[in-house]
Amino acid sequence: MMGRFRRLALRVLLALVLALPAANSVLADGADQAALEKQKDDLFQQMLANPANLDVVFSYADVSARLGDNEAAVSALEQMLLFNPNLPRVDLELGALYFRMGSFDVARTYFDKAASYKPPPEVQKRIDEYLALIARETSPNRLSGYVFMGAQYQSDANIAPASSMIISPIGPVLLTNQFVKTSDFDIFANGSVLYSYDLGNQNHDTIEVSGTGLVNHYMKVGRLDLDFGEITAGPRFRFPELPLDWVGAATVKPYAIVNEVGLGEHQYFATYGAGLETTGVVLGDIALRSAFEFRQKTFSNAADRPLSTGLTGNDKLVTLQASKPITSNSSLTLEFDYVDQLTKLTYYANQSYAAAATYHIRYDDIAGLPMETSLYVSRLYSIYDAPDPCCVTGGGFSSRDDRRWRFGIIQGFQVADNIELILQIERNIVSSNLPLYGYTSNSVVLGPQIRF
Amino acid sequence: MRVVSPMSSRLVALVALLAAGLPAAAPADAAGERVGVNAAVNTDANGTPPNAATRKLVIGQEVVHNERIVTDAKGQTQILFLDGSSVSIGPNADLVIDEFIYDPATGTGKMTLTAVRGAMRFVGGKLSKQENAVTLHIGTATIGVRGGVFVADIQPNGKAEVVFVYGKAVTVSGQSGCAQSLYRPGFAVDINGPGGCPDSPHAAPPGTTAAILNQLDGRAGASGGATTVPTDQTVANSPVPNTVSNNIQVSIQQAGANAPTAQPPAPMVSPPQVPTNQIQVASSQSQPVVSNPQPPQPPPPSIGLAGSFDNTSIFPGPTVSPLQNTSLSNGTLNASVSSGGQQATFALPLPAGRLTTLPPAGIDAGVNGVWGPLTGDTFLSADQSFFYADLISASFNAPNFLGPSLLVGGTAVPSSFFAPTGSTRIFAFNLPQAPPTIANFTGVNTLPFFLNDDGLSDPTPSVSPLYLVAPAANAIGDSSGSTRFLQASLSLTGAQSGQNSALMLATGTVGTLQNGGPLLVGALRGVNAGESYFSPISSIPDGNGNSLYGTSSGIAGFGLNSNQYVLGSNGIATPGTAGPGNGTLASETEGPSTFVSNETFPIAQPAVATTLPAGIGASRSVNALVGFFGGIMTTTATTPISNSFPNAGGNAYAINGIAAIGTNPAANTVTAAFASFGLQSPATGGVNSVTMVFGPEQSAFVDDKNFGAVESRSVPSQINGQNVSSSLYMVTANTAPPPTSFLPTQSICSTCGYLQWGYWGGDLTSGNPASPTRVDHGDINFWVAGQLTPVSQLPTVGTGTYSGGIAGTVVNNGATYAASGSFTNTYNFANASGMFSGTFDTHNFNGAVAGGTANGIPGYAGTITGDNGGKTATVVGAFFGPGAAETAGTFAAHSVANTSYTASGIFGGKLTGPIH
Repeated sequence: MMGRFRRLALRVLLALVLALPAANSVLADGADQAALEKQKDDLFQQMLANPANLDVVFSYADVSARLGDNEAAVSALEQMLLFNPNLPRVDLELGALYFRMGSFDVARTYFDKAASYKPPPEVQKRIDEYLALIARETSPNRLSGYVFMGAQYQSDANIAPASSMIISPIGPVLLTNQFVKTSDFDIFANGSVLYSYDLGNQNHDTIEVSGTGLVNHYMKVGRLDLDFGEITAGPRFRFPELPLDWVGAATVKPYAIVNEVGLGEHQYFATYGAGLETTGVVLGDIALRSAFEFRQKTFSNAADRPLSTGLTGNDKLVTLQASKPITSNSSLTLEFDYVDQLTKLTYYANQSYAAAATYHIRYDDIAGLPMETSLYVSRLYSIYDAPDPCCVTGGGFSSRDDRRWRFGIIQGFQVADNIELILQIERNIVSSNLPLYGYTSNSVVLGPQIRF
Repeated sequence: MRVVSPMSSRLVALVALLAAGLPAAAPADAAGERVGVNAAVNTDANGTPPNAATRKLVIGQEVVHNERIVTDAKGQTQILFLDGSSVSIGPNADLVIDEFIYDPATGTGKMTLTAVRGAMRFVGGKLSKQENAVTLHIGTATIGVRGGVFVADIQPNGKAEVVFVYGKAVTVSGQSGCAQSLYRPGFAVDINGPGGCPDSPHAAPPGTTAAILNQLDGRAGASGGATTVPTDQTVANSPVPNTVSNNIQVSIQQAGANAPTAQPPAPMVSPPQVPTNQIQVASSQSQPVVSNPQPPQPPPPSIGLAGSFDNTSIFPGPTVSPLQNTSLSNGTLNASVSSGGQQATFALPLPAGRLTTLPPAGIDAGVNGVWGPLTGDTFLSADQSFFYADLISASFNAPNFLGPSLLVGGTAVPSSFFAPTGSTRIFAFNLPQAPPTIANFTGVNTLPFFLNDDGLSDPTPSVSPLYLVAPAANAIGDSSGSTRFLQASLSLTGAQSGQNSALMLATGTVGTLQNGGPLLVGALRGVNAGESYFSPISSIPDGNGNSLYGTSSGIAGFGLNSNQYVLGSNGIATPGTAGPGNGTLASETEGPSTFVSNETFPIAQPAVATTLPAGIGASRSVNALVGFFGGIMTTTATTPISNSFPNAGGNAYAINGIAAIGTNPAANTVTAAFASFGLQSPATGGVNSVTMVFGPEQSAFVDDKNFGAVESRSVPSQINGQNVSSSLYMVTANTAPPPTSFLPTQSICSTCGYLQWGYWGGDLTSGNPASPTRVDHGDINFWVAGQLTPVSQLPTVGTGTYSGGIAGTVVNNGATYAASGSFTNTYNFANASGMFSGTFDTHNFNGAVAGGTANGIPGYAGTITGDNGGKTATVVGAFFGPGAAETAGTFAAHSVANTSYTASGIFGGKLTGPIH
């Protein structure tokens, strides 16, 4: 299996390397941008000299739009309406430009005007598409989300140690089969929705309710079948007019959390809690996100996990995330997480620190089909509070001390406007001073992801 | 920001034009310099440069500094400024370009306009990207622009409406300085005339923006001055549609970036993995058996009174016979039975609601012709749902002597009672002592399940009720196996070499008899003066498969014997090799001696419902207790002695180690593992390490203070790392407390909140169990365990004085007995040292202990002396509970001069005051 896994990973990497030179961004970047800027300046001077030259004006509008300068493009096209107000195609372009600027009322005005001219079908089709988008954007009620379903292979589905022998307080113990490393396939369905309600004020404050769910079913280790449902809800306050010039798009969202998790067809744990999330953009294009969450979790035992209630307790989570565009179609995200998990059984209590980096790029492959790739790596340290009675090391009990590497690649193949085929290949390496908790697992996930 | 004077701006503009390689601008008005051009003009629009005559504007014409532009009722124009900004004005508009300073090299400068009336649109260029660079005076207000686009409609009477379209913000200030900022596209403010303040920002009323734009975007029949008028085809042929409207994805991306909308949830590409580590922990401790839950099988419908007759005098052979034609009428139990080749029909007087002792001479129970007059005890519950009778022939001279026998039966408990109730249910049953008449036959017997000839004569033994604990979520007897039972008895009389001791533990599961009702299935493990007892135990089913009698209100009683049943993973009990028809015999292993011998005996014991003692079940927690055990083990070797144990043979040795105990209130089970420290005494006969594993298959968790288990079926115990067969018990002392003569409070620490302690013992059998090479036997030994104080909570300063009790086992000149005592440990946390002093078995010990980690458990250890140097002891302890509120540990002591005295046990106590 490992051989096949490696070959598949190599193929994906090869496809990525071959595809990168063909990557074609929507907006110009780098040297292209500089050339376009010069071209725009030249065209502007020509416009000043001869504003009646239609070719120059259209070219200026085109280059400006390609540079993302929608205001300049608007100026040029509005000039055209003074030349001839009966131009539904210009109204269409103006509408699209105002749409891009987020000025949906003005965009709708131009689309309505274009439609009033009974334009050709292809123009009307575009108008209808944009009007539908505007209806969605301007509705106070918004629903977005995704559904992801598929199959997963894990070389160590039950994240068990490779060796069936552990040194327990009773001496070397041979774990029964269900607790040693087992590869397995599972099928899963996962989805998340976000409902937001626009409070209608100028700050664009909203009420957000999000729901996330997951169900999966293992072919062999059915006791690990997981059902997960979580709802968070709270207001998101936006601060578009902060006095700090270097901070933009700042938001603060306090929220409540409830979830319910089932494992192996029995209740596993339930959670209530609260969180506070802040987001913002600093230094122009670095998106920051921080979150603090408090989660009170109540676990339930089952016949095959008699100590689950020992995990009952609370989590305190801190997340710091920064994401920066590297090019117009790629970005780098860095994340730091800290979790303080307090549990009823002290040897389950731990503090975990994790750092992660993700590089994401969108591009078209050689055939012109859109693709996206994410490469990620993370490192986690978990330090437990009390000696774990599970195992003996060096003649005595020790507190558990885990290290984890997790890295992988996610390849998305867009097969429709809102549907991607996702292939994920991942490797997890967990080492622990208590061999019971060490494992290495490779996984492959394949399935369609539908966004809405 | 670089500030450019109007004069220098002229130079800058000129340089910019020259640098662009363009011919110099067309001649401007002498009083003004070019700031832009008229990009489109629909007549009439007139411009008045400063100090010059009014001129009619045309396309391409320069617009100059301080020029005033006025349109008539049809006029429209768009001015394209040098920085890329554009201003469109509609009919009847009046606009003055007050100031325009622009440095194309840096993109900086300033623009100030004054609009008196008319509709207008401002689209920002490079200047508007700066703070405070673009200002528009509209007479009654001032508009400051930070990037972007806005439209305004200014009335001649000073009223105005400003609508924000795009950008960072537009600030509208009234003449009194009152200001409002607009930063959400589509939001507007109104100024209600001279001196008025802008009202609160609000969504522009529908049609407002369209009405303004309608005045700006051309007029039918006008061409804006263009020589070539664009057509729709011109637009279609241009590159613009492909870049803009056809590229919807980019439009969506940019709209998303410019409009603060809720971010859709990020897809969770990788399904989360289940945190199963704790399952693995469970696996190492309990090796749980997973089975698919099956609905409990209801017992067959009751067909009225039924029961069994357990004739223990038949040896060996089938002894349990179902009662037939059973009825109760007029205070007499009538039943027929075939037992031991005899056909008998009882007519037994059975008064309801009480225990009746039959006269020693016996009564005619209807079976005089078979067994002669019978004596013993009879009992019938007040509701007449359960009866039993301990019976024996009153005379050895009876025609057929009936040995001690149990007649038991009643009305089967309805199946509805066994259904889960959502709450944990705990029931208690008394185990009546065997009747004196039977005792007269085989000796005094005050402890349930013990062989009558063991000479136990404790008038007040510690006998717990039999607890039956039913889970909240499972039916009694279902496949979960989580209905459990527990009973323990302890007898401890006399002291030192004069001591008599015995302990018996009964525990197991309630399953369901195949084609029958719920059935208790479990194990008996006991010790008595070096002897071990082991036996299966079960409730006694009648001919209908029912063994529990009572009503829908509860179980009134049942009988117990040593029939063996095998409990499948589906919860169904089937007869085992020692089941009905194969003898009902318990075993006793004689010892300690150099030989092992076995004696088998029957047991038959009624159980009668009683009130649940106060406090039972009050606290039922998931516990992972860690602590210590200590005790004496005695080797009992057969001959020839195995090569593995060249020195084995009748020696006693001290054993101490770590105890780990897990309790599961959902499954009502207990798992425990006792792992010894390294054993180095020659007395062990080559045993270097011992691990003993208990539960969970035959165990019961009643509450935090009452639980017990026998040896594990799934994980073998080991000696020197080699699997051995075992017959072990461990049980909390609270289940069967020791007498006050042993410990005044019947506990080593009656007020401790974080410690549990108890007894352990039994046999570890090396070699083939049928012909063992060696048996290591522990009698009544002790363990203590609790919630360890986390390292992070251990005090680092101050001194605490701990005080508590000691319990241990002693081998003193060949006599083995349990002994007790008390201790004090004054421990200084700052320098991790303490003074330990105690009295045990009348010997005084004291010495220093030092902090450290004992087998991974942070605590203390030390070697102390006793009897002024005549004895020495090793003490290992740890702290328990929050803030090290309690301490417990284990010790091993021996005489210095010779091997005459060896002791090992545990201690536990708590702070006598705050740590200070």
